[in-house]
Amino acid sequence: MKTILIPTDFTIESLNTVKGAFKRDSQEKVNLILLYAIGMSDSITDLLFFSKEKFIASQQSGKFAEAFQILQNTYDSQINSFRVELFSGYTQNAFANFLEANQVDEVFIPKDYTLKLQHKRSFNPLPFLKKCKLPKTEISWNEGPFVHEKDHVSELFLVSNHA
Amino acid sequence: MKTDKQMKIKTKIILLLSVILLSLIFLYSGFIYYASASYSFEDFYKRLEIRAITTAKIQLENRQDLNAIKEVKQEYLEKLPREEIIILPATSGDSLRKAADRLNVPLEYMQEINSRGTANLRKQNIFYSGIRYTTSGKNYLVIVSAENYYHTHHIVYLRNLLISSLVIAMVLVLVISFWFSRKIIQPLQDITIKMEDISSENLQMRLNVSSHEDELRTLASTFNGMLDRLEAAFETQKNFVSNASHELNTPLTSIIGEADVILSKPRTILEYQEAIMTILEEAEKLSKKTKALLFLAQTGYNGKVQKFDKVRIDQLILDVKETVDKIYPNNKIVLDFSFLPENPEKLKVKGNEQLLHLALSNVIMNACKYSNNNTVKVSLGASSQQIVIVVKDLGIGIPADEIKFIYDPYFRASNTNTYEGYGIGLPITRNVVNMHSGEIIVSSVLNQGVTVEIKLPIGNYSL
Repeated sequence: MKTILIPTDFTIESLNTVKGAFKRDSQEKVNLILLYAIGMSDSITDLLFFSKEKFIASQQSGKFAEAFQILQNTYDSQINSFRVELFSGYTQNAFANFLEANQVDEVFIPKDYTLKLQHKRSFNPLPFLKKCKLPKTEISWNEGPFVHEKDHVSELFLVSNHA
Repeated sequence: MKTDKQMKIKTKIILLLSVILLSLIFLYSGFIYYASASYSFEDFYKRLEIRAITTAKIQLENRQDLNAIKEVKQEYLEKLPREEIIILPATSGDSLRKAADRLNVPLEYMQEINSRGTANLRKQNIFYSGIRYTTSGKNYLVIVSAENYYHTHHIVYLRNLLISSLVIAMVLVLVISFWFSRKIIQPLQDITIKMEDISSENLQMRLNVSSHEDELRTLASTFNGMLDRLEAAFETQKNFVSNASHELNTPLTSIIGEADVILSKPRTILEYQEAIMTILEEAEKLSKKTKALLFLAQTGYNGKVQKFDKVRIDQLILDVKETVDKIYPNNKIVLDFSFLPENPEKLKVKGNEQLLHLALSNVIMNACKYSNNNTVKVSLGASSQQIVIVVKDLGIGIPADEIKFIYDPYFRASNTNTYEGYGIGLPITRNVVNMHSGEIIVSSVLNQGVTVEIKLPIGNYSL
C-alpha cells in the first residue's frame, strides 16, 4: 500500500491526472490525497472559525464531486482511502514537511495542464511538486478540440490518449 | 338531496361559513343583551331599595341626625321618573289586601315583603322594591315604585345597536366567506382551466406546481405524472410513424428501382440472379428495420400496469446498440466502458426497460443521423447517486440560440433541413428520463457535435 499525492484545482479537467495515475499503476492499493494549495487568511476571526472540511466543501462544485465519485467507483478496488489536504506553506521546506507528515510515497503531476486558481489566495503548487525528492510521474492528456462539455460531468469521459 | 348534489363547493363553503359565523355572532349578541338587561334590573332595584331605606328613616324615626340624611337624599338621590313611595304599617289580612289593591300589586308580593324582609316586582316598565322596616318595636312596609328609565332607554338603545351591528356583521360575513371560498377554490379552478387547455396537440404542457407542500401540489404533480406517461405513449406512436416513413422508404426505393431496371428488357439468367440477390439483401434489411422499429414502438405499458423493475444499464446500452445497428447498419458507435464501476450494483436503475431502451436509442440514432454515421462515442459511469450516460457525436450540432427549444415537440433546428425527421425524439427521451427522476443535459457547438448527458438515479438493488 502506498500513498500518492495529486494536485487539484477542483475542476473536472484536473481529475484527468487522477485517472492517469490509476491507469498507470494498476494493482497496488493506494491512499489517495488530493492537494489544494491555498494561503491562509490573515484575519484572526477567519482563522478562529476556520474549518477545513467546510472550506473544502465550499470550494468544490457538485459536478466535481460527482465526477470524482465516478472515478472512485471505477477504481474502487484500488482506492484504500481518499482525502483532500490543504497546503498553505510558501517554502520548499514547508512542502517537504507536508509530504512527510502525510507519509506521501509518490506524486503525480499534470504535464501540460496549468491549474486554474479560482480562489484569490490559492496558488500553484506545481513548482514545489516538481522540486520535491519523491518519485514523480508526469501525466499528460489531450483535451479534444471540442470543449463545449466544459464543467459538465461528461467532460471526464471525453478526454483520451494518456501518455 | 338533489339540490345538495348540484350545489358547488364554492356555495357550500359560503353557506357553511356564513351559518357558523352568524350563529356565533348571534349567540354572543344574545348573551350580551341578556347580561346587560339583568344587570340593569338589579342595579335599579338597589336604587329603589336605597330610596326606601332613606325615606323610612326620615319618616319613621325621630333622631338628631335625620337632617343630615334628608340633606343627602335631596342632594344625591335624584327623583326617578314616576317615583312613588308608600309607607304602611305591617299588618296582615284585610288591610294588606286593601293596600295591595290600592297599589295595584298582587297580594303575594306584600306577603313576601312581610315574610322575607325584602322583595322586588316588575310590572312592565314600573319596578317595585319593598322592605320591611322595624323601628321602636313596630313593623312597617316601605314600597318604592318608579319607571325604569335605564331599561326603557339604555337597553333599547343596546338592542338596536346589537341588531344593526348584526346586520353589518351579516354583510361582512357574507363578503368574507365569499372571498374565502374563492381563495380556496381558485387553485382548483386554475388547474381545471389549465387541464382544459391540454389536448393531444399540446401534451407537453404541464401544470404549475406550487412551492408549498400541500394537497394541491400533490394533485398537480399527480396530473403532471399522468401527462408524462400519456405524452410518452402518444409520442412513441408518432415516433414510429416518423421513423418508419423515411427509414423504410430507402430500401423500398432500391428494391423497386432494381426490379424496374431488370424488367426493362430481357436479361441473362446471371443478371436475374444478381438482381434478385440485391433485392433479397434489401428486403432483409427492410425486415430487420421493421422489426427494430416495431420493437421501439411498444410503449412499455402493454395495456397493463406500468412496470418498473431493475434494469442494468450496461446491458441496456448493448441492446440499444444492437437495435441501432439494424436501423443504421453503417453506424460507427464506440462504446467506452472505461469508467464502468467495479461494483455492478451501481449499474442498476429502477426503471422500465422498454422506455429506457426507446429513450437511449433515440439519442444514439439522432447522433448517428446528424453526424452522417460519423463516430459516436457512448460512455458510461456511475457516481454514488447517479448513473451517467454520455453520448457524443461529431455531427452538425445545434445552433446556440435554438438549444432551449430542443425539447419542444415538432421543433427542428434550422440546420436540419437536409435530414428527415419530425422532432419528436428528444421530447420522448426527456419524458422518459423525467419519469425515472433523472436528468438530461444537452450541450452543443454548431458544426462540432452534440453531447447528451443522461443521469439516472441508482436503484439501490443488491445483487
